[in-house]
Amino acid sequence: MSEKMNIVTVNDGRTLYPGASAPENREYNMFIGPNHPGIEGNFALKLTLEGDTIVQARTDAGYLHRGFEKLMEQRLYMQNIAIVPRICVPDPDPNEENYARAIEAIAHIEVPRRAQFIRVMMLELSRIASHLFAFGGFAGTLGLYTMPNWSISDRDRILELFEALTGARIYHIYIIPGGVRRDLPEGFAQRVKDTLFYIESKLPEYDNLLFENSIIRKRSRGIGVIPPEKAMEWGVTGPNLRAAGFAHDVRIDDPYEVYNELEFDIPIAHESDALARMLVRRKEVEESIRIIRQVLDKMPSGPVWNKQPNPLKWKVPAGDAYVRTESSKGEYAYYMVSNGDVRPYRVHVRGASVTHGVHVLEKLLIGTRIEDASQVMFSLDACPPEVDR
Amino acid sequence: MFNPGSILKPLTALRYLGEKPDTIKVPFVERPAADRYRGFHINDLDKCIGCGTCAEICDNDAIRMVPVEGKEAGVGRTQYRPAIDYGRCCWCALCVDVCTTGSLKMTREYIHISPDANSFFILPNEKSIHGESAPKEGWTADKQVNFLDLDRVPMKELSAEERGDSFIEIVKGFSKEEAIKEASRCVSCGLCTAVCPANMNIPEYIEAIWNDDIHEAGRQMYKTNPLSDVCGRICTHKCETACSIGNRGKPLSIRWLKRYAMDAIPQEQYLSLVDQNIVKKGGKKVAIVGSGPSGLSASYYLALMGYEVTVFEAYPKAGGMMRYGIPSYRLPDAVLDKDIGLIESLGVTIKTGTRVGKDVQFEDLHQQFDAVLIATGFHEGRSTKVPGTDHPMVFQAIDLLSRIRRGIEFPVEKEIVVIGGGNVAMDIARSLARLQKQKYGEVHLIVTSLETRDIMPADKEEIEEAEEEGIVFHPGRGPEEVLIEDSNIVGLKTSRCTRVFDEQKRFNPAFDKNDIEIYKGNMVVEAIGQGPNMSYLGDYATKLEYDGRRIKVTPYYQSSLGWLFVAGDIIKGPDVINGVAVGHKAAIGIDEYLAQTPDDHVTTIDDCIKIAREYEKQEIRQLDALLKNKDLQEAEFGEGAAALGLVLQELLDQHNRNLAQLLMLLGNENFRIHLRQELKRELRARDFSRYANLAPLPGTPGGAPFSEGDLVAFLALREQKGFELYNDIFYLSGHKEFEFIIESLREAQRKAVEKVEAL
Amino acid sequence: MSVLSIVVWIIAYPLIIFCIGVLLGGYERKFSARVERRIGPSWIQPFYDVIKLMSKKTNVSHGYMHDVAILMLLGGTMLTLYFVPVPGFSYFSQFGDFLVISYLLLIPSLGMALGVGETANPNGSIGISRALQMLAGYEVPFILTFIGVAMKEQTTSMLDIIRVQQAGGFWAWGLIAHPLLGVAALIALQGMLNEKPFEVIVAPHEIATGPMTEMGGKYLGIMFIQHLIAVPLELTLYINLFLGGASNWLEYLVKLFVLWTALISVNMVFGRFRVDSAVKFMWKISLPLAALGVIGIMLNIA
Repeated sequence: MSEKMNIVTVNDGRTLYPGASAPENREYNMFIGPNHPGIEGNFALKLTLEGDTIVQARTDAGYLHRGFEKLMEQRLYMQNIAIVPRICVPDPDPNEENYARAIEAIAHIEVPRRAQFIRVMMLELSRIASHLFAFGGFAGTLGLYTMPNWSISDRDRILELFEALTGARIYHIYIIPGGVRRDLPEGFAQRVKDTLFYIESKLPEYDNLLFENSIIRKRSRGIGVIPPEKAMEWGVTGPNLRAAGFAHDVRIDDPYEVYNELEFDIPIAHESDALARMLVRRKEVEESIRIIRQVLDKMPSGPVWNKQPNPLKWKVPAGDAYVRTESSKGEYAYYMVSNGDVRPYRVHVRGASVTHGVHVLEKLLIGTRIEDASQVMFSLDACPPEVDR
Repeated sequence: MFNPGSILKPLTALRYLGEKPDTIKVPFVERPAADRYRGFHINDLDKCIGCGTCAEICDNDAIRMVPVEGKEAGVGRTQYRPAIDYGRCCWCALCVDVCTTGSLKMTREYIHISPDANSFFILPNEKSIHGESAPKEGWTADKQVNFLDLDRVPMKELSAEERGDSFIEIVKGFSKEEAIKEASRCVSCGLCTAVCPANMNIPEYIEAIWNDDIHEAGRQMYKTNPLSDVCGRICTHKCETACSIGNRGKPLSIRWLKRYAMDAIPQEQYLSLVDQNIVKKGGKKVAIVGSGPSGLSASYYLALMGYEVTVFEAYPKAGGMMRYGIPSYRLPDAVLDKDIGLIESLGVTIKTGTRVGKDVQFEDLHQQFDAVLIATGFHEGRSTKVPGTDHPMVFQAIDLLSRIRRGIEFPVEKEIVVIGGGNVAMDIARSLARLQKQKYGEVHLIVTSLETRDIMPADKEEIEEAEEEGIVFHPGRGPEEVLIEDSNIVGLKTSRCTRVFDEQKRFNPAFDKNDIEIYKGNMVVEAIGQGPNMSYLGDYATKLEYDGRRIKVTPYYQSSLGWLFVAGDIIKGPDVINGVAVGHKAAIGIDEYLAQTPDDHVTTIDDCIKIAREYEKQEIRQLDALLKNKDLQEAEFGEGAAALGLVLQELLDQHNRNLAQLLMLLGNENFRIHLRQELKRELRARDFSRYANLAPLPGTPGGAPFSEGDLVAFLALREQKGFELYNDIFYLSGHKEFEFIIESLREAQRKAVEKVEAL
Repeated sequence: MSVLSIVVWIIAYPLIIFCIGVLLGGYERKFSARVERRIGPSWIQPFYDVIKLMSKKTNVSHGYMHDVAILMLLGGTMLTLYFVPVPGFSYFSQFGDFLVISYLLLIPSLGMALGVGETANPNGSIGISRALQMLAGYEVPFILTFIGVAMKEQTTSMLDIIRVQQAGGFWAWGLIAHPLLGVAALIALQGMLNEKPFEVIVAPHEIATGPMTEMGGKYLGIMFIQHLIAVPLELTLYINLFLGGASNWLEYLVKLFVLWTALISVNMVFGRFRVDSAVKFMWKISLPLAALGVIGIMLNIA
């Protein structure tokens, strides 16, 4: 650097804002901006490139900030269920689950068994839908547009299941404190089984088209490698961590709902690159299907909601709780503080993508080529709505 | 080992060229939604009562209540219906789940395309958003997952065996947990306030009970009802009839909640509940004849307004019908004494054992007091006048009830027949049953009434509890004759009553004389109605104008003799809460009468509005001149205008003298919609108490006290007329400026009062 | 041919090819939609796209060079078009052999490079650099195959090559007669048409549509028109050299669509290469094939 401007950065090791100093001879600034086909959601990457290679990268979040944490403070506990799923768009159910569980933890509310099983089914269906979305996004960055069209169409079948169960396709507003909002409609279990069978039959086709496609494999091998020794230090969670060889999953480490009664495996890989992460996700789809089948077999009968008082006059006793869920993106957590009033005092959302989409991404982008930048981001499955809340 | 993948396998994807595609061409092909889809709303406008709970729960402020033509306000319904803004709605269906009547539903429609943005604000009715009738229903309310608490917290009562022979109070009352749980059922819709004759602030005190702030609950109650202890036990609870929760479940036990709150406050603290900013009104004195509910209520309000009040009561204790007409198993003495104690502690003199017409003459009252209020009630029983009713063992229910209370003995026979189907009949029947049980160990009591079971005017609970206590009912019978043998009553001969009311809904019973039944009994008690005893009026009776049999009065209960006011059962009944309301209004009437207000001053907020409107109409130049010239203001609009002018000036300074901008902002419909929501929220009990606690508005000495009921009515009037400049100024300026207006107007009042007192 | 008919032909020919291009484009969109399990837009959707783009009010111009370069893009392609023979329209082919054609084919890329360079958008610059790299990648094998065919037939005139193939029937087709050259040229053709796996110029996820980033409205409309003319042009080039030309329109259209189907089938199921991998692929596979083919011809084997 010929001349450094006196800028104080808060985070160590993060590159200076690329525009802060004049680029060197062969460098130039470019941004993969918020309005770009290569970005999921609205998110900006400010890059300094030398030729084709990225030498400095900095993410610019905030375009999707909707102020949820503050909004939640100004609404009654039951009103918040309508805004909570909008925090993460592809995978909204962990939000509803976390919010409900946080209140249940603070107020010591017991959830009926049937509701717990239904919640597990919702979470796993949402995981499958989100992974299908991720396959599509990943393939799109590499130019294989057939795959997103297929996986979105198959995901639509899951959305139709959601529509039949909850009344809406994406923002379910279904998991509420105390249980779930409605019981299963008639014939639903059979519909779920049919859909799962259908998706299982599609997985080999996905393999043929995407996962065993020689060009895709060549392009994504060795891209965006998270060094395993740094993975824990950087706070990587979820499938990204499992692709680095660590068998960590909140469903096993800290079981919630009825996961401790269900049998499932945790797929791991060791190469920790983009391809490995997508393969881990693909295996997770199989595991999720397995879980849902067990849930349908073991579903007990009973009520689906533990009645809470009139929403306009429901005070949650003072206290706080930190609850976490394994979402398709990683470890997703809520920290809720209540001061005994009808509104939450503070709700903090720990989106899984905050570490992946901001810090890990910046570190991984250095040294990659511009054509792989988008691929890295999609393989981390970083979801900007979660980052910004 | 790295698997390099294959080149040929992807080509298998091409097989889909021959398959049917997954996508469909909407709108040529319809895609029906699921059975539970959360689509656009529909609402059964007749079933909907306009309670506004959906607007409360909506977290995007998408619903606002609008008045709808053809929908009238009534008991348990308003004239408002929800209108939804689909630009804000997120289709979460919380409104459907919380609807108190279950009228709001969602359909399966989800497509609406229109270049007209206004078509996205709809008033849902039975037709879908595109006008088709009977659309398919999507998300509707569910029995299992139901957000409202539909069941009451049960109230513990004495069982029939326990209470059969004693006059101990039957109802045991709520504990704190029970009361808080019952209070948490309320959705604060306010339908109860609208139907209560005294317009009590019911949602506000229920919320105070729920917040475990008993004191606040008491204060809210005392604003409109000084006899809350009594009403907490025996009120006819019209509020519970109107309660919106009662549509799908059981209404809130508002009466028991009131009882809980008042019981929880010790007598010493009662005075602190009362708003006591009393300005002495120059020593005017008021006499009240009768210490029943209306008399006591009027005395309370007049005392708060600063008058010297003396109450004359003929019976040995105060309370009127409450003491001498209601048995103590429903209303114990101690409770009534608590309320009366408070009124006395305000400085009201109650002269018991003083009968006007005997111990004191009515003429003296007229001479010694500046105004007189008669509230003597209905203490004379009416008789059926069938043959035999002149026998000494034929009694009037009202006499017996007062004798029981006064401890005067009377014969209790082994077999008794009671004639009558109202609450008084139930009271006397159940009291006599207890006396019978005490004396003989068993109950032989028959109640017979003209009305059949379904139209008996008594409360259903009373009839049920009476039956539990061993009383036998024979409804639909009319008395023919009291049978006497050897100068003892042996029974009552009755015939079947074929109808009670004729086609013109007048009382005109008809009998079938061939269907005769005889009920055995040694004593007959008549409880068919009461009438007044106005003999104490003396000559004044002829000087008054009458409306039929009742005295003709103005809406403020002032008779044709300006100094004489009438309240209570004599003029308008029939229960305690009505008496309280009438007493309150009569007190206001007396105040106005005594104040002799000339009306060329700024006295109420109404006039402030007028001023503001005038300002709005004027040119900015003229307005400037007006604002600067205080004399001009006073000449045009009177005292107090100066104060308002100061406020407007400050507002304009804040907005950099840009009146046009200010007015443009206020003229924006969306802005006013938003303001109105804010205003509605602001007018909750907590904020409201601030300005309801304010002193009577100024202008003249003795200006009418500005009660919360008045502000509510005033704002309702404003709502009907749309958004008024005053509301907007209030909101714009924030609460501080509103207080400033009130402060400055208060200042003017103080000055005016000082002027008067200096005279 | 009379002057009048020549003039009519000069005006009509690009329009006809444009219409064929629209059909080819619509066919591609329907085809890709069906592979992707969708219904797809209408058959003449590219036409609607062009109309929409050309009817937009124009927009930012980055200078004189920017405007001129776009015209160079379209003009170069149209000029090339006149020298490529199709059934019934081969007047000018006698004046230009395929050396002229291969020279003229470079003009559109250069024009685009000049214009996009003027916009100073790094996405565009990267796109152009890729375009020129790809040009080097596919142009070398393609020219080599040309040379091979010319050596075999001892002529550089396209009309002659067509006549030879049509005279010899099916077995005289270039693809059958000298298969190595045919296959090499096929691979190069995929690169020339910018179809996957060689779609590196317009790589939306990487460089936000590359050269088209700063082109909007009418500029984009002209780029679309150029694309719709260039596709049948390049396909026709291949048909004339290796698939026996066409004696009538029906045969021509059938060969066009069959060839196009084969190419877009590969397009639909593969991702895209990185630009260096693409060039390497061309030079490692297409170029040696072409070289072997030429050697074979020189040794009179194939």
